Amino acid sequence: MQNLLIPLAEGEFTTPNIHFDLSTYVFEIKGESFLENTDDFYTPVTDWLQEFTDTYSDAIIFNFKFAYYNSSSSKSILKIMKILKKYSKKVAIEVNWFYPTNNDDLLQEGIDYQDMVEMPIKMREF
Amino acid sequence: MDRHTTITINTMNNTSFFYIYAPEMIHKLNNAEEHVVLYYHGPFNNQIISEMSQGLRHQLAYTKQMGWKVFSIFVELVQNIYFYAKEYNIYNQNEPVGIVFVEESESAFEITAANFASIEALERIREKCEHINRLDNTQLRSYKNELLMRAEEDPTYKGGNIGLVQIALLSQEKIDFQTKFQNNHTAFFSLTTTVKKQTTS
Repeated sequence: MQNLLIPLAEGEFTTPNIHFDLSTYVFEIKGESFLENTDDFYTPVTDWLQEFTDTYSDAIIFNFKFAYYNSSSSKSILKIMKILKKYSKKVAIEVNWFYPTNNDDLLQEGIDYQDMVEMPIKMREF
Repeated sequence: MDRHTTITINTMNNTSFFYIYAPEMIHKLNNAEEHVVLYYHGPFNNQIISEMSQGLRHQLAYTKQMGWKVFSIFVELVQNIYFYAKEYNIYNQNEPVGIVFVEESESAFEITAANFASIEALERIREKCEHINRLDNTQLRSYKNELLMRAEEDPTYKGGNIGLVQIALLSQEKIDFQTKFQNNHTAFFSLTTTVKKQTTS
């Protein structure tokens, strides 16, 4: 497998930066997710992560660092969370949910994901 | 009275002008107590949505968290127009037509989206809004999570309600649903919600 690196894109729609680095085992999604068709963007991301979790058994740190995402992106974020939850049953992982300072809405979103997938997530301001 | 007006949207990189015909909103545009942040009546495509979103964020940047809420609600309401609009650009049938309106008063921001929809769709939206308006904050959150789980598990489920629930959660206010010009097939309807200034940082 190779690193999955997708640069942040700001055009008609904004897609986040994906940085899944196999040399450090730090995987990060960062930026804004403002998409019309979220599946086109997220399917390669979830496919990569699914393959990784099926073939590797290494501890990872996964950082979600969204400044904004629309409700259409929520489903894809949940899908990633579920893959991580499954992986966490065989390997110790750290999942961080970064939210902008004073943005209680995004903090609450992180707490909601934690409740939905029943997996510990660290809430951190940025 | 000139019923045409030009709305200017200043973005970081450029300035866009939207020339609109808006007889139904003239009284609001002329109301000194309410400042119109954004008004658009016309076809929607990706470029227009992107331009308006950037302009809105730029204009509301000073309000920080509140501006973020207004922008987030705006995006969900525009997506609702995409889902339900039954009027299309005569030059491009892929572009639904609707109205979006953001105004600011001393105490709040009000965000409205309006468009024509089929009677069937209209009734579904009305029911959704009535259901959402009956829920308190905790119930809304549970409902949203439930819809999200269902949408994630079932690829055929579009999760159309999630945006409306998200609007209610962000605004902490009821969604105001109004209909006009109804006939047997179609109706014009609007969704409005408010972000109160004192409730956010």
